[in-house]
Formats: sequence, C-alpha cells, structure tokens
Amino acid sequence: MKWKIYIVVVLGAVSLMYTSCKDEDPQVTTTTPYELDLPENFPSLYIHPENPMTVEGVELGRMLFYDNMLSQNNDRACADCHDQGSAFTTEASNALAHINLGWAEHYLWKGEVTGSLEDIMEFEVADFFMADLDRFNADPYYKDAFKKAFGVDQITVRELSFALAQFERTLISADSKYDRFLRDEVSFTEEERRGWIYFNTEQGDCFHCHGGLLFTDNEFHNTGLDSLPEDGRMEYTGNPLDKGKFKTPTLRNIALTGPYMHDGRFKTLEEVIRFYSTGVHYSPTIDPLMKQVDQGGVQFTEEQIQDMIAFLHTLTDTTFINNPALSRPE
Amino acid sequence: MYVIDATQPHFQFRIGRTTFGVDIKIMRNTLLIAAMIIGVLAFNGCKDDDPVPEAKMKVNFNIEHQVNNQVLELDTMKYENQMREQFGVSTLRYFISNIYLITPTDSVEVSPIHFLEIRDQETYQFSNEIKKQEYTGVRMVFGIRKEENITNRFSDPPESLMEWPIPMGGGYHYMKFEGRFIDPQQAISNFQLHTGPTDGNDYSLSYEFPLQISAAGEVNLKLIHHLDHWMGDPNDLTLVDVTRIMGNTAMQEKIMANGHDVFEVELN
Repeated sequence: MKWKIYIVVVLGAVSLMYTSCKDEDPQVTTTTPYELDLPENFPSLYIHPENPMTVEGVELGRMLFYDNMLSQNNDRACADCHDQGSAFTTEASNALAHINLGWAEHYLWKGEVTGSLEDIMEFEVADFFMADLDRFNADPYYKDAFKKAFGVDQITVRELSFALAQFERTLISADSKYDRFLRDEVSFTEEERRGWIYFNTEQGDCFHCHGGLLFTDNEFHNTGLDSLPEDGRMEYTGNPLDKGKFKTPTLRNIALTGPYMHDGRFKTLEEVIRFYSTGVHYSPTIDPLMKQVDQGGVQFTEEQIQDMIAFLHTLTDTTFINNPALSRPE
Repeated sequence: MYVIDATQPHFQFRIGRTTFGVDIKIMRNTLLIAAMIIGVLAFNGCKDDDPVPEAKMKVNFNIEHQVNNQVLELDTMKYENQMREQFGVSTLRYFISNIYLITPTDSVEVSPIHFLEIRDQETYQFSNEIKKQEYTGVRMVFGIRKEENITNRFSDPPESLMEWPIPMGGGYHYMKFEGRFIDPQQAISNFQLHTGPTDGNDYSLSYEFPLQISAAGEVNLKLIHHLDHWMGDPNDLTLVDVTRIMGNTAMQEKIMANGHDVFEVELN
C-alpha cells in the first residue's frame, strides 16, 4: 500500500515542478531592477507604478536622450538643450536644468505640465519633438531595445516617454561642496560661510524659496522682476494672482546654468544678486516674501554680494556633470 | 512494516481495491492524543486575559481663522489691526502639536502634530477615535516643542518646506504668516511674521482650554485662530515690527507673549 502513496506524492511533485518551470508567457519580458542610490534626507521619490526603474529602461532612456531621431527633422536631441557639462541646460536654450527633476511636480517655467516625469516626457515626445513613431518602429536597434525594456512589439509615445522618464530620474545631483560640508567632509572658506549665513537668514532670505536639499520649493513666485510683469503662471491657471509668477529653479549647479531668470535677462550670478539687492520692482502680485520692496530689495553690501556668489559656487557638483552613466553613450 | 493482528479488534476501510485496517487500540490512543492537543490549543486560544475592546468615540477638530472676529478672507486689504494699519493675508502655514483631550487624571492624544496650509481646506480638519469618556478640556501646543523640533524630521513637502535654517537654530518654523499692508509711507508693502526656534530657543506655546465634553459617539470641536491677536496684548506691534524677525529673539518673545489668547476651542 505504501508504494501506491509514494507514487501519488511523486507524481504530484513532478506536476508542480513542471507547471512552475514551463516556458514563460512570450509577452512577459524579464528586466533587471535598477537600484537608484537616493541621497540621505532627500524627500521621497515618486516612481510611477507602471514604470518601475529597470537597467534596460534607464539605458534605453539615455540612448533616446542623446538621439536626434526623437525630432521630426532628425536635427536635435534632448541633449542639445540639456548638456551635461552645463548641468543639463544650455546657455542658448535657457531651459530649466534637468537636476533632481524626479522630485518635481510642475515642469517648465510657467508650469505648463503638472504631474510626473512620465507626463512631462510625454509632452516632450508628442508635443515638442513630435516624434515620428514609424521611424522608431522601423529601427532594428530600438525594436529590440523596447522589446527588452517594455515587452512591446509596437513602440508608442508611452514607451518613449517611460524610457526617458526612467533616465531622467537618475539625474540626481547631491555631491557638491555644500553636500560634503553637510557631511562634515569639508569646510567652507570664510566667504562661503558668510554667504551661507546670508542665504539662510533674513539678510538674504533666499532659503524661503530656494531652501531644503533640493534648493527649490518647486512653487511659483513673482520676485519683482518687472513693475508690469508678464502673465507667467497665470497663462495656464487663469488666476490673476498668478500674474508674473514663474517656477523657482533649483540653485544646485547654479554657477553652470546661466543665463538666469525665465527670460535669461541676467548673464552672471552677480547680476542676479544685485537684482535682489536693489533691483526689485513692486507689482500687485509680488510675492509677500520679498523684502524691502520699496527700497528695491535686501540692500546687500559689496562684500555680501561677493560672499553670496562664493556660497552659490559651493553648489556645483562636479560628480554630476562628469558622471559617465549620464553621458552620451559611446 | 506494521501488520494488523486480525485476531485483535480492528477497524477496516477500503480505498479502491485496497483494504486498510487500523488496530482499534491504536486508533483510540491516537484519537485521545489528538483530542488532548485540540483541547490545549482551544484553551489557550480562549484564555480569559484577552482584553475587552475599549469603547471609542470620534473626535473631529475643525479649524477656523478669524481677523477682528470675522472669518478670514484671503487676498483682500479689508482688515485693520489695533495699530490702525490696513492689511490683508496671503499666506498662513503653521503647526499645532501634542493635541490631547484631558480629564483631571487622564490625557488622551488626538494628534501628535498637525500642519495647516490656509490654501488647502483639507488641512482645516483632523479627527481621531479615542477612549470614550467624559473630558474636561483640550490641551495643545502651538508650534513644535524644542525636543521634537529637529532638523530633517520632515523629509517631504509641505512640512519640509517649513524648515528653520541651521544658521538660525535648525528645526522648523512654527508659523509663516504673510501678507500686504499700507505702510507709514502709504505704500503697499509686504509683511512676514515668521515664528520659530530662533537660536535654538523654545518659543512654542502651550494651551489648556477648559471644556466639558460628554462621552458620546462623536464630538465636534472648533479651534478658532484669531490672527490679529498676534499683534496686540500685551505688546502692541506694527506690521513693520513683526516683519523680518526670524533672527530676533526679543521680538519672538513679544509675539509669543501676545499668543496667550490667539486660540480658543468650543464645541461645534
């Protein structure tokens, strides 16, 4: 009797093994999870639930970022306006730098797009580049790469956006001299330290908008550029209180990302500091955080201006701008 | 291999063509052991020291903001403070913490900390289920106590955006209260009344509001924040006085002294 029981058990085990080892559904692709190294004390990073980070997806996104094929005329890529050496912007484009965008919720100077990186990348692919999907679907390299990364036979705007979003999420800057100062690895010079204090007290009061480890509140402010400001954010919200407001850019790598302001009117950091010191203009929607508006601003001395510039230079992250994982593929 | 002694009492059953037999004595002993195991398990599962669930009541807080005893309207210039300055409110963000309902011998936490953003009405309410009993008051802190007000406590916005910079003591703002006013030169100016732990000092305020609260299924409480009270009694302050005071310990103390009657609680 016992041998009959043994046979039943063995047959059952073999059946289970066979079932679990059968060929996988051909529509499911095996991808490699991408381990994102998140900086300490940064906010939580949103990962789109339908677009988990994978090695294949990130690499594909990097390829696309540097590929002219994204544009209709094959004449430009993301990298043409977002150059790594300039912390992913360029002087000519004055585009907002692609630094730590994974923590953003609003994109572009007036916040034209709100949502996740997938949303802004969809805008870039479909509306800005107007990518020719037929070209991608006819390209053997991309056909194979998208199959591996997303398990699709047909490439659509969705997959192009998702791949770019994955790569964009890896554009993390958190190793500047300032970060090393916070980690007690380096010391500031006296000029840098004084600038740090002005930045983080109401003498300069920069931290209220450019605070935290992201050096941006990711909000919109009218900082008094003009007495008759442009519409700015109001163009998209329709709210009169948003007139003249533009997105707070990050100050990380700010020494590399000139010119400054939404219209690039300031060429140097010194011009920016002097603006906040004596060049601020009142308008009805000027941000209530702006101080001494009647006097033009915070009234820095010449030494304070130079100290501020010295501190801002500590936000340059050479690791970020030289990271080969973010560079043009060879 | 065990062989049934057919001369002894035994129990038989068939599966297919195979007949199985079990010695009755073995079966009886097996069943006895199984019954003992089941009994022990049942006894342990039904022990008397399982606590009886505590009766709960729901407490709902609703926060209302007032200026001159009128419900606050944002982005107007309709208000006048005790110094006869015309002003309006654009920004209001603050923490209240350690919110308890209390009795003479007990205190039950409703919320350890709550952040209010005036432009997000969802932050005007918070609730919790607490022990059902009569209460005699509400206790809370405006701001964050020093021992709890630690840099990097909040990593995510909006709370993280209340950071109080390290050069000024670290931690977080208690409040950002901003707007516009007509200044002495009759121009429209900005004011910013920011309170917090200047130089690491603790300027948080503790309140205790006597209030008879019956044990009920649900209790609704209104917390009223009188914004204009920050600027008067005992210290009459202008909006110029209260602006740019993050690094000013003397002014932080004056503001906090004025805070004694900024909040009140009533049953809704």
